[in-house]
Amino acid sequence: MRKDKKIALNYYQYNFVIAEPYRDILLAMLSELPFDTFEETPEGLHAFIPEPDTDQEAIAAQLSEWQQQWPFQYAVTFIPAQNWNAVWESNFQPIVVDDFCGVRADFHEPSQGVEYELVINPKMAFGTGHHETTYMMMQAMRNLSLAGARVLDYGCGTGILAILAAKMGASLVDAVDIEEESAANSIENARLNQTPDIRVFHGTLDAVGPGPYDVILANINRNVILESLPALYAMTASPGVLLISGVLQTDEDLVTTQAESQGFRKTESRHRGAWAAVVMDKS
Amino acid sequence: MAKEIEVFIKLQVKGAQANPAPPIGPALGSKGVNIMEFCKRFNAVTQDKPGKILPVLISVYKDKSFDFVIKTPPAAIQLLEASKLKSGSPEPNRKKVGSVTWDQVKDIAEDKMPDLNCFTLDSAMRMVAGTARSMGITVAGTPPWGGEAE
Repeated sequence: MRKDKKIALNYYQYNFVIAEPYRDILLAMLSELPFDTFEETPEGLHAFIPEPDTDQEAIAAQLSEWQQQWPFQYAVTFIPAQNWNAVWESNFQPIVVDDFCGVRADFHEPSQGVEYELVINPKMAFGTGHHETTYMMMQAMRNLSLAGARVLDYGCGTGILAILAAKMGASLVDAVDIEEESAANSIENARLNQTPDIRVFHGTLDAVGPGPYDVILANINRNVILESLPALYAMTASPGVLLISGVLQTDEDLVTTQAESQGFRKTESRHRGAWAAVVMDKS
Repeated sequence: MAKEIEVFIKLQVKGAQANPAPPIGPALGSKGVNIMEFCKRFNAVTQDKPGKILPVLISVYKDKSFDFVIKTPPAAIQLLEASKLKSGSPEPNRKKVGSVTWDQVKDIAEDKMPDLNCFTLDSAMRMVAGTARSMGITVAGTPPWGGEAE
């Protein structure tokens, strides 16, 4: 498992003009070079590769060999890293979770009639409250007494849940994300919300101390949660709570069963859209 | 009322590995779609296929919402994977990629039948075998319809 990831990379885009029967073959071969994502176009194919993985000479040599077998032409363009989410970010509407918590960007007017207000400038990190999973995590947090608690936000994205925990009175808040941009964004948002005591780490659970934490928040994805369950159990205090989301309802039983086999006990589950959030207790 | 479509985007993305980089970032971002929401959903529904290249047809609507459909990987990708499984040596950049069995060709043909415009499984298998040949992958053994491999 990789210990860190970087999203904001420069990319090379290779534009191929190639006839239909050969397009899929070229795509398959390119995936080994290693181009990682493709866009089908009427003329053929655009193939994308991060700059650090790009050995332009080796790729050119390989392509000219393949050109003998399947006729195609290509051109290369450079795409500098940038915040691709900027358009959405500049237009998004503030969100209010019940009468509990409002989330807005710094350019919005303050939300009215909410207990807690968070200001999040998300850039390319996940977590603004618009998504069902974040929304349910915040609803579930409302039912926990976080005053004085030690809290870990695992897969913190924008840091939104860590910031809410800090505002709810947690005495210690740690946040960790495998993506460099998310860790950086969490630090930025923590400052913006006057919760600078949140400690942000970059990496996997190994990057964080051993705990114990009274509450662990894990809005990630099914596979990462399943892999992490033994470590999460070890890091949860007795008694303590693990709050899981980022899983589809179709995966809820699998995640619940495996968490229970670790020793957790399911006390609550929520559903919104296709998504599930599960509250697990450790006694 | 059905939602009015702004644009269709046809991508091929590795399962469980969508991120806001190109082409997803610029393709969706320029339309004002929340890229992170697409990535979260795509990655959640592809947790069983991490790292496998999957065609995804994304519909972006005028109201900035989106939907997507994931299809099975192209025959060429499946052949490449099948040939690696067999030889056990995933060495990229080699001219001769390896070999597959007729059973593997049959599995891929069955999987891709709906996309191949073939009326019979035999013709789909011939088409998949032809793709394998173009890629330098040999199909070992005798085809189910007898005779030599074409």
